[in-house]
Amino acid sequence: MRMEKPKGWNTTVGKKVIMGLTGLFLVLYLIVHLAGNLTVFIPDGGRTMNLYSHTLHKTGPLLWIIRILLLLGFIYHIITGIQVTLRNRRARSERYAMYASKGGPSKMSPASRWMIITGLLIAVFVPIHVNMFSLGPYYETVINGEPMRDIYRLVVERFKEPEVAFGYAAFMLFLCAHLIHGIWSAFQSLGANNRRLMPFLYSLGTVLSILIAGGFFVLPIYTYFFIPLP
Amino acid sequence: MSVMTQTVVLDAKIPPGPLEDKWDNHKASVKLVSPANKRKYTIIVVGTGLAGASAAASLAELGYNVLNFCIQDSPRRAHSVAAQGGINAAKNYQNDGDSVFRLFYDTIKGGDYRAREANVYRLAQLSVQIIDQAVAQGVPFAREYGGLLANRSFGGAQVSRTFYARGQTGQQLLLGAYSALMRQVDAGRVKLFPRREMLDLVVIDGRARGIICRNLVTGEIEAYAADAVCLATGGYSTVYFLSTNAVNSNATAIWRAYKKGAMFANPCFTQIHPTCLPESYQGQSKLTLMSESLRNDGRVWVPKKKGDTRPPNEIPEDERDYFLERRYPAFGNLVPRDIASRAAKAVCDAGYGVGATGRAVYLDFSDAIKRLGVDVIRERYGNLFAMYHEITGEDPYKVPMRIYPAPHYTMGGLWVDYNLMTTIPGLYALGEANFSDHGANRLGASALMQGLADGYFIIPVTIGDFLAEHRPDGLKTDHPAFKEAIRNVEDQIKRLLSINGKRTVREYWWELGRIMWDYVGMSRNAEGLKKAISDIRALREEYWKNVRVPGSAEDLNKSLELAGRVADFLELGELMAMDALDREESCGGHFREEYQTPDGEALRRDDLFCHVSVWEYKGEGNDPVRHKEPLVFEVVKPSQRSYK
Amino acid sequence: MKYHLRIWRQAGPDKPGRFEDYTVDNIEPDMSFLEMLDILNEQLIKEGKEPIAFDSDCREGICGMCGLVINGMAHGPRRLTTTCELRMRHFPDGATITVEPFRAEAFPIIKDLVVDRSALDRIIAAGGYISVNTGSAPDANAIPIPKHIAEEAMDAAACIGCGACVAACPNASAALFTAAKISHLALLPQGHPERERRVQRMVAQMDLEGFGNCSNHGECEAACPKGISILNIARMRREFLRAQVRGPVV
Repeated sequence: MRMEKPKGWNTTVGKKVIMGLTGLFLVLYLIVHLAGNLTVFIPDGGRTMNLYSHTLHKTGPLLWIIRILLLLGFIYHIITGIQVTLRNRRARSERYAMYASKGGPSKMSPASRWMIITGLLIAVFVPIHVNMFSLGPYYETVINGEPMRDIYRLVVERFKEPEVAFGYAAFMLFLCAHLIHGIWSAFQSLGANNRRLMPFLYSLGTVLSILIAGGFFVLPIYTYFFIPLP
Repeated sequence: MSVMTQTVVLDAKIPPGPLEDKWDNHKASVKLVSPANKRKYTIIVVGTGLAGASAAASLAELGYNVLNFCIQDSPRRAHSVAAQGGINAAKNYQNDGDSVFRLFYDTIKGGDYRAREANVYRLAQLSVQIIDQAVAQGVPFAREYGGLLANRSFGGAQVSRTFYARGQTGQQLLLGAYSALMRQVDAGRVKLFPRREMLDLVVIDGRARGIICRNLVTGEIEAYAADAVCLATGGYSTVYFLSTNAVNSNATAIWRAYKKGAMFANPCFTQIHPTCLPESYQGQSKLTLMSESLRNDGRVWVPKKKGDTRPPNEIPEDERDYFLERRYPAFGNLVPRDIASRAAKAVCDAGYGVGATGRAVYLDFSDAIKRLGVDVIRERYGNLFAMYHEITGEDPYKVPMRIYPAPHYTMGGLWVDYNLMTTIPGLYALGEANFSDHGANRLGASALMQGLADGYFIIPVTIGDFLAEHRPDGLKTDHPAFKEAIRNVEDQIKRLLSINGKRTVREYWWELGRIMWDYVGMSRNAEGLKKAISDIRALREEYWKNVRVPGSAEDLNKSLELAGRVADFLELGELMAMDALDREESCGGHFREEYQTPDGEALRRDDLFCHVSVWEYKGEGNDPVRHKEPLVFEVVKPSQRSYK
Repeated sequence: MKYHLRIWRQAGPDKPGRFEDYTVDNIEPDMSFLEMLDILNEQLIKEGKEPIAFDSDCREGICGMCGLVINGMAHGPRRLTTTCELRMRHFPDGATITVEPFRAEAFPIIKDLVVDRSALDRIIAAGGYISVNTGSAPDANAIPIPKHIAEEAMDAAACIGCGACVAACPNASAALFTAAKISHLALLPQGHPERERRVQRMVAQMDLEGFGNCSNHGECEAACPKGISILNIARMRREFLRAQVRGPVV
């Protein structure tokens, strides 16, 4: 397989840096997003959640800038991920009849091997998710005399549908797998790793993945079983 | 057997002047090729070990076009890579009284006064620059906490002058030379030909003008023309079948050059390395070396009782014979290799050997571990211990290693003058392939030094002297001499493939190895050597009638490659035995049982054998002729070596 | 001991390959894997069959010439071991062992178990050196280098260029090989003048050869007979980023 001599960001190393950067940016967003969503657990009939959502929307252009950046990061992450995978497939067209790991220091796991699968599943999930909530029906509520969107009601309504609640939760398992390899790997790809950091980053990646995906996982399940419709 | 001799003047071209000025005087007087003219010359370098890679890189840096050949798939695999312990240099960083003169003296003495003074002195001088060069290339030598280079001591020396990179010094130095080589490959100055085996030398008008190679992948026979040819193809220890050398190491390049007129010097000078893993099973393909540096901290012993089968740790201290320390109190476990090997053989012959075969001695680290702690020992020898553990299944941190001598290095090789030119004008031999600097025994950590001195610093100077007198003439490989050489090579290949006998090449190789080890090994006598000669002749005759070489000549065929090499070993082995028989004295690694002192040390006979034995090929079926290059010692007076 | 072997046979680069079954007997536990294959080959020659082609040279784990995928693992099941160092005692008597060549597009098969790894040489040629002509070096002790830095450089420099990292990587990436050399030279002050150019050129060459991406699986480190750490890959990426910011425009 002879190809053009690549330069800079188009090299395999450059692409991994892009994957790492966009990946970490998306993880950062997930953390903020989760923090907002966890307000659903506050038993105040959705008051905090709606206020939080309303405050976000009041930032106007800033929100749009963030949304565009997120979209770009998301798409760039996906496209680069697909390119990386295609190249990897070409790099070994004749597969091994038998393939096994020696273990030891290897970080290989189903999570690391199936990044493209979990990634693509998330890529499918996200538009559905946006369509369901951000672009979903507009309920209105009034808090402190101010009319605003009742996003809480929409969330609870949707998660009372079992296929939505459990489907949503299922996708979070894929997210968890993606993050378990993705987070520490992003640091490694950015060169932000050394002997001292390695164990910390690897644990951080695992813990953070479980917390983030776990949070998103518990949310629909808890809502389905324990939160009454407003 | 009576050896034919003939008087031929072998001019070593040693420059005039005091010993310490010879090299400088020489550099000042050699002819030069102007920078603009250098690119008009093509130089072939065969081999990419320390000598070959360093020569190819340095010649290319000067501006010559270099064609560089190697038998492996990459130049980085040459067997220099396996040298473990270190490289000597007279830096005197340790302030322990070292100097160029002392390194020179130790090398001459270690070689049992059978090397050329001028060459050895130059080697000692250049040793210093080699370290500078290697460090500049990024060779990660061991360092002290202060950031400066560390040294260790080695056999045959009472100063610490050995630089090392863990137990992988050869690898690191080779990778340094390889990186310099690859830089020139990238620059287009060196054209690299991996997976090529040189099968003949092309001599036109008495001058080396090219080589014939087999492309080991396609089987094609290829011809290359040049203005000069450098052979850096290593030694011939694999003639013993079991040795510490790589399985592809072979003598074919130098042997075929010998048959084209390059004389062979001191073929019987072989080094049997004392610290190797003993032979332990049928089907073993090599003997693994355990670096000599282990003798810095390990103590060699055998039980005082014959045939003592107790596990080593159960043998009390006073029932152990630390025979090196007992026999050689001044140097103890650090005596030169030939002496250590012979002492081990002597105790095993006398029935004190250990292990299943009784052909091993213990190398014990328990005292060193007690003194320095496991961590220090692990830092110094960790990789060697791990290697030993993996091979034998025994943990050397707990149980003493079992070691036995094994063929390791050949001091003999193509005769070269001070310029490293063989008796064929335009043909040079570098590194282990030549005979030059180690006399009858090489000191530890000196092979790397010599290979790099030859390649980095000597050949770039001396080859210009020859080329300046031989203008490029645009010789092409369509010259009849190339055609004929190709035909000869192809004929031999066809012949080997057509015998289709009953026995495999390896079986013959193994059998030859047995003969060599038994009769031309660590100790030799006239009767055994005569038997070896007749046995080898018989084996060779059978080989050409009964060998089976499978496959074809048109693709990768490892059996065919080996068949050609073994055919050469079957001739070289005989020459080694003839030389050993002819040299009726003991010196260094050449120990003739008839010539020993009352306490069993080597008895040199300077009145009769203070010379290099130089053998000239006289055609198939004829005995070779032995010439002499007398060795003149102006500075060091030969005396009986004493390490007591 | 007796073994059943399933070995990949392929007559040439463009010829189809397949597994063939063999049986070897009377194998000593201390024998190396390659010595076991030597015995099989002797047997095949005697039977009038063509022996199995495989590469090896030093047979002590330092030249990097040998390399087989044994039961799905580059250099076999033992860690920190080359194929030539692997001993048969690690395989139970009567076992069936699958032997394949190192597989990667960048390592075309030459014959049977022999592959062409010259891509690795070309990566080194692209910049895996310090440009210092013979004779121009300053005194070796002119630049002190802290012991721990020298040791770390040595850890990276220990690479034997066998290509097991590529063979073991699910993506057939040569990142560990390339990173080991970049890391070795980046750690030493001697390597600094060329560091940006080096990483740019070596990475570009690595890509040109058709190796895959590094996905940080870490299989390379697990398979590396010298235990070279993937932290060197992190360092390569730092060097790369540094070159992107500070290096010459290429």
